[in-house]
Amino acid sequence: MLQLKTFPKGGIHPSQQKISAQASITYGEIPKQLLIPVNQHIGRTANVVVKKNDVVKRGQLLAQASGFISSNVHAPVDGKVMKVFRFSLLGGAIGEVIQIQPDEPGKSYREVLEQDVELSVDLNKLTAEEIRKRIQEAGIVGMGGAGFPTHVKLSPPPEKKIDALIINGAECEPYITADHRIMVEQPAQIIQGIKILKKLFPEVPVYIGIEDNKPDALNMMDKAAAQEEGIFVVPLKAKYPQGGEKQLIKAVLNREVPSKGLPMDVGVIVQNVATVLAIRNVFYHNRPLLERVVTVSGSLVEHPGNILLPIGTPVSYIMDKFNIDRERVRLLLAGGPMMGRTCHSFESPISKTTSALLFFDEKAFVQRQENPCLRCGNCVSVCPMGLDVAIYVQMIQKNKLDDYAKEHIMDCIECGSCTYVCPANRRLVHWMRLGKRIIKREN
Amino acid sequence: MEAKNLLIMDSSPLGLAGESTRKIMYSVVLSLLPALGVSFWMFGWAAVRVVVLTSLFCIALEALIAKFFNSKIDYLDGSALVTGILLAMNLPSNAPWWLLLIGSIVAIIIGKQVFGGLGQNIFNPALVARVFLLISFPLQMTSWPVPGQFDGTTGATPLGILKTEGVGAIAKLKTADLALGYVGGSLGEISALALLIGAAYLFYKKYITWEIPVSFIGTVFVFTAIFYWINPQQYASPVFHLFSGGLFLGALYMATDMVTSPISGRAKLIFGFGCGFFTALIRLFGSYPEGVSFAILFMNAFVPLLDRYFPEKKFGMQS
Repeated sequence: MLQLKTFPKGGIHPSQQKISAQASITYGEIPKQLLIPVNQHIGRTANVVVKKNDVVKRGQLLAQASGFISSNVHAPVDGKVMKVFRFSLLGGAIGEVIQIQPDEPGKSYREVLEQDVELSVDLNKLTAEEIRKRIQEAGIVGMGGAGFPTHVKLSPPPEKKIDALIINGAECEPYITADHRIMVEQPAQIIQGIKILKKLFPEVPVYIGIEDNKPDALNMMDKAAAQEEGIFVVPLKAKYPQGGEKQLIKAVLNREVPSKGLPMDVGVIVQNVATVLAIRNVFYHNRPLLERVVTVSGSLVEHPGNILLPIGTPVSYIMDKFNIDRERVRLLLAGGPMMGRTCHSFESPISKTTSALLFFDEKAFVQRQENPCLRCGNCVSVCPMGLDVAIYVQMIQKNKLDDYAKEHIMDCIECGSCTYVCPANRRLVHWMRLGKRIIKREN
Repeated sequence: MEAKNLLIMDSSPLGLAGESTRKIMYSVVLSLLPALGVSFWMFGWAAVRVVVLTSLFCIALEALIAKFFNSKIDYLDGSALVTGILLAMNLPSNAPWWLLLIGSIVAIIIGKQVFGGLGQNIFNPALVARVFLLISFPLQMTSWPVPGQFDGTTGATPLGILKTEGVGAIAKLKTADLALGYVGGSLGEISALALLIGAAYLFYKKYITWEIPVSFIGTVFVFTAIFYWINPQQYASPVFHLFSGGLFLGALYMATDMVTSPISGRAKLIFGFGCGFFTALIRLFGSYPEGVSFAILFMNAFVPLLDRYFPEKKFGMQS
């Protein structure tokens, strides 16, 4: 067994709560209606290219990327466009959605997937240019949570020499097991995706980083990677935020992405396992990004699980499917408890970046009264970026940032470890986010 | 929709580790119990009286401020209690009640609340009060009851004897007596062992870290050892300096006060070094026998600078 790797500074060990770790991925049915968010990525909002009453086919373009850093959106099922309107999205924002009335509501989504023929892919015939173009057309974005358009990440400027690829299977957030299940159930397919990526960066070693709290995933990926050259599985210590891009690079390769820099500055590109699987499906099924695995868990979910759903499925469908009592839900989280967002509507749809939906009653919520900072330094000692959180936050609260604070606040990865350990219950990462906004506005 | 059915909106993270200000403060109180026990044993009810009175005075003063100035103050969060107990540990057991009241007023009002309350004060409140009393009421603050003698006998501290009578006079003092507390002194100065036991609990809870105590005590040891090595006829041994006076109380409880010490490890080492250096300087060459309080207060003033120039190493800043 290899020695476990980890990032050296900071981090926390929240209760893992991976209740759904052994629940195989299930398939839902096509819901009665889908609400496809137009903006599911970081970058410019896509332009809607369909209108009311248009008939759309599965895989048809609904919204076109409006620039390089933007992403296409496609119809996950056959149906009719009912309306394009603004609606609450998961995470609290209001954004444009395309409402689609499916032709076959109630049909098993598994059947829909089985209709997609498996194509044979000749890697030798694929050119790097073609791979990038098809990934771009397919609307692939980072499915780990950030939603950065994948084709942009895969197109580093020529002066940035890439000498390592890292596949992120750390999944360090509590509760979430979507990536875990993908790795256990579809290791061969993930490897196929990696081999497509390797065509873009020939001869570059690929490291698959997985936390050691997923021994079955480590085992399956290790077996699948064993037959391949230049693909290595790297067991990581279970520590939050091991899956943070910069922390992962530090853990796997002992390289530090410079302050305000990108992974490509140290010759690395990181892709999440779910993203790699989506890339694989572009080539093996000619299928754009239409669905994703979502972990459904939390104290109100009797049988937590992982379910493959078409993008745009409303939360209410999932609540019916998992028998979740609406009256009792007080806290709906999109994503994990560390970085996820609270949501305010059961009708909001899932998007390309929704890794989990967590349902809790009020007991899960701690009423927090913010007390004065004791300068205990807990926030500083757990900060994986080495930031002097307590000191910056005092400046942010007074809106008086000095040059030193401005120099470092932008490096905050918003992992929330500081808030987690603060004895005075201060919403430190919240203030740090505000500080980042202040600095962005000034520039 | 009824309000009770609304979904809760908050900023992540939603889970918390479960630490709290109260937990920290009452853990500090708990950790002070062994030392308090020893001083009660040595000085009897007089010591109990001092601790109870300063604690009550401090909490009551903070409650008054909460009532009249800032209702957000949680006067039962344990911080006023800690200040009260630490102040008591800096005082002689025969201190009159008005001295305790003045000390508490200085600690809570001038030491803490005028700066904006908990977390905002630059100087350790209990030490501000101690130094204030030492300068204003030297007579009451330097006649120390002798431990184990309940007849009102007073005497000087070992450091006081050293300062006034020289090295020869302290030769009869045994190191074990110094460490265990069979010497004259304030409530908290007497037993280094009991203080260490209490501090071990705080280390275990990670409420204090090793940097400040180790560099503080280490610096005093090395500095006094150098002079002892040069001239043992004139200077006391480093072991004597280690176990006499308020070094352990200061290094374990006063200098490690979260609010008035630096945050990063490097800054803490420098802070501890400064405390140790000035303590030894005052003890060896100053006019006061003891320098721990002055040294810590002096270094407290440097905390913002230390935080700024010796911060935690940043990710992505390696050269």
